[in-house]
Amino acid sequence: MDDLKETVEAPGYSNEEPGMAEPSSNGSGQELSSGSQKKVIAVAISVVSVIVGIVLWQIIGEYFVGNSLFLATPLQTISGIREMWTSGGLQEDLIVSGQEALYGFLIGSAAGIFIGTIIAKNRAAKRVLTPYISGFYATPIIALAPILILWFGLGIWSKVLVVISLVIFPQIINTEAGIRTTDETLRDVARSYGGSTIQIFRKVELWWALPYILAGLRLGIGRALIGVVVGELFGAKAGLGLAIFNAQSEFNMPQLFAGVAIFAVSGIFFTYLLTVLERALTPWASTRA
Amino acid sequence: MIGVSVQGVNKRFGGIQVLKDVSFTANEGQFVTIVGPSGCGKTTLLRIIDGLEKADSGDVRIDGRPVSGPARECAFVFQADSLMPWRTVWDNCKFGLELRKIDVQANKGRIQELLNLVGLRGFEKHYPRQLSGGMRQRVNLARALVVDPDVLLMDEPFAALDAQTREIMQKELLRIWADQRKTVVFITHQLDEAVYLADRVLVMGRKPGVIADEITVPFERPRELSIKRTEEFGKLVERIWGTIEGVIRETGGI
Repeated sequence: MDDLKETVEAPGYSNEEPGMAEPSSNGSGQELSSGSQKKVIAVAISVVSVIVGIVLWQIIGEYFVGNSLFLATPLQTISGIREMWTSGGLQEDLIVSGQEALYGFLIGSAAGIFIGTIIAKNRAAKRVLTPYISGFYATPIIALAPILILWFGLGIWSKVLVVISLVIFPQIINTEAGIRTTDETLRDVARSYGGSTIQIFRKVELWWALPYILAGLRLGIGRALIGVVVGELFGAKAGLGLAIFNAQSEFNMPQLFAGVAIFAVSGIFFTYLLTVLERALTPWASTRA
Repeated sequence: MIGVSVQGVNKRFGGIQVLKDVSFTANEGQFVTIVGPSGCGKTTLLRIIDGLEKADSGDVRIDGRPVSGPARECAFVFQADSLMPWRTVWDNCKFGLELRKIDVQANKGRIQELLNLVGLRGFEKHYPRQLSGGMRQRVNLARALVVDPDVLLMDEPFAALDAQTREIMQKELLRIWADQRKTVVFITHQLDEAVYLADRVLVMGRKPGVIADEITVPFERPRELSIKRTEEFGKLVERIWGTIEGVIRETGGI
């Protein structure tokens, strides 16, 4: 849950200090001996917090607002999900939106890592691309979504492009920062053993950059989900964002809340998945003496 | 046999002459320390010997062969924290073999032997951040020895350690050196360290960096740390300090 707040803030390109793309230090707050016990408590606190939140939401919705046109309660939201499922629309929407988010996230992240590497390793490329990257990163790129829909149609690929455009820039910036900040002494170590440029990249720089790249992926998850919803709002044939839009125009609050809830739960789930991935791929960052 | 030969080396960085006509030799199996005030170009000299840096003029040879780029005969021991944080002790030790495309499997026994020698048996799977400063420097040393170099170039390896750990590591280094018998060129700014370790001490002046004095250390080996408290040792340190003090005064303070 600690991780959620980090997905909100994206690093700025102008602010080039290490803090901008700080690799997460996993396991902070976990001490040696009672580590697993503390972890259980930490998870329990998060779970209780969510349950309390949902109960409060139910009470406020039922007794204080009392009008499902303004606020659907959790129970109404669940029945909203059930309606969407039995009508068969939810399954289709999930597949469409899932594909858009997944393809966009994977392509955008891979391209971001690739371009970030090129920029870090090649000064000319950096000079050519930096104005575009800073420019696109600073503008609310989501405003381009209607144009992308206009150009590429109502199918999934226009939404995939929206997601790519949101995911790619933080990843470029993080990857570039990771490779650029590689400790010069470690490069020297590799050089003194006769390491070639490619060996230095593969055995030093890429590893140094790995926590930064993973942080970039984490930022990408939230942005991919935003891209799907906003992209579908501007034009789609199917998808969860479209379902939210339709529910809104029909004043069907339970189904609107259902759509939002599904996105929220996906955000939590995928961010958690990435935290697990981070721990598995960067064990040196989490082990403490 | 001559292990390291440096003849008339000059090096400029921009308009500043860092090294001027530096010459010395280290015989095979000899332990040479280079001591001097900060900014005298010691590290630059060591990097030139390793081929990490190019001299503007002069001749550098390892085992009689001229140096052009990082030499296989050398291994460089860097200052603290030059281990790859993402590699375990074991994986850090095989780093040099990997880069030189030497079969790691065939050298497993050798890596283990060297880890035992530097006193790190049982720490193979630890990450550097789990180790103390002294242990990290032991890994540094083991990593360099794994590629079986003829010459060890050591750049203030103990500078970041606390005083007690440093003394222990000095003694350890001599024990390991006695076992491996490499030619060592060791840079330090600690006078007692320079004298305690060396067969020969070279004292460097600065602005530009020159060899200002050369001292042959008469103590028998193996050496106990207690020789540092003897009068003879004190006199050698005093002589070096006299030279360095003169250099610092002439070149305008620290």
